[in-house]
Amino acid sequence: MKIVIIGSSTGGPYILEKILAGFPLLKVAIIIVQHLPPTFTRTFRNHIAALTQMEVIIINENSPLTEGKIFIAPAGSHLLLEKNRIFKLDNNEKIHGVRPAVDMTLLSIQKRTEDKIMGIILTGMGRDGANGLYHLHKIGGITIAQDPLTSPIKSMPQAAIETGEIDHILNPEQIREKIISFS
Amino acid sequence: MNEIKGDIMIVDDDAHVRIAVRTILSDAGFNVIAASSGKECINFLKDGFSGVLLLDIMMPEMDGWDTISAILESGLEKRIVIVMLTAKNNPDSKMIGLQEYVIDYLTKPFDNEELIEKVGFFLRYIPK
Repeated sequence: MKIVIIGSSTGGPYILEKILAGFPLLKVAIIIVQHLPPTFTRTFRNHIAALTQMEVIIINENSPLTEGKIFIAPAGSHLLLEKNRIFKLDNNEKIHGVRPAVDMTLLSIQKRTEDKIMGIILTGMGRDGANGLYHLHKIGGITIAQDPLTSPIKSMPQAAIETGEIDHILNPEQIREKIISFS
Repeated sequence: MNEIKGDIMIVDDDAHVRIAVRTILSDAGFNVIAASSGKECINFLKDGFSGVLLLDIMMPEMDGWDTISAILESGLEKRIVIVMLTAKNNPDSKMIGLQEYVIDYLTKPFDNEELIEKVGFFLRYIPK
């Protein structure tokens, strides 16, 4: 299965809507881990759903990962994948000051020959996602950081770049094209 | 309680910024109210303001981060989205732990069209 995991924080909703606007139905599973207050998860989901032909789902405990859908991590819980297929929610302590932390999701990904994984870190404060992308690259995944010059807040993509394990540094339009060509 | 009528609240101790933002956004058709301090912002929220908060970081007494903490302590965050409006190129570490409550970040001097576009964009996130 082809899986795309996107981690995003302050500045992310605006950029994500630009990336996903008019998205066709892709044979890929897209997981979005956006730092948001709990009251905005459903609103965020509805705005993304209005942009694309792909079904957009807020993840529940034990939701299965399937192609052709966009999965939104619910605010307030860390999101993990069991055997790259079943979502698990984790209410342990915040990491990097946030929950969900995309590091938790990325670090739960396993190397499996039947999967191709792409990890993307967008704008945000702190270093959430850097350790996760490092792990993903070490197990054969494709890693992308938003070009800090196009990020309202540079530190998350910058921290990812500083791991030395980033394949591509791209602007939002290039990220959009990369996801479409990956599918 | 008298509900405060406004789409946007600019919170900045600099009167020039308050006037500039209010003029730009009012001319674009938004209802704008202005607060000169975090304390005044909290009072507007307690009076029922709902909309986009354009919040300066560097303010005397109560800075932007202290203001967000006070908003959260009072449970006043549910009907607003917060956009930081600041002269700093990159935020300081005080943002860690509060970043999920800051939906975007605009750097002064801001581009007028970007300000108008983003304000309209984030108003869509306010619960009806």
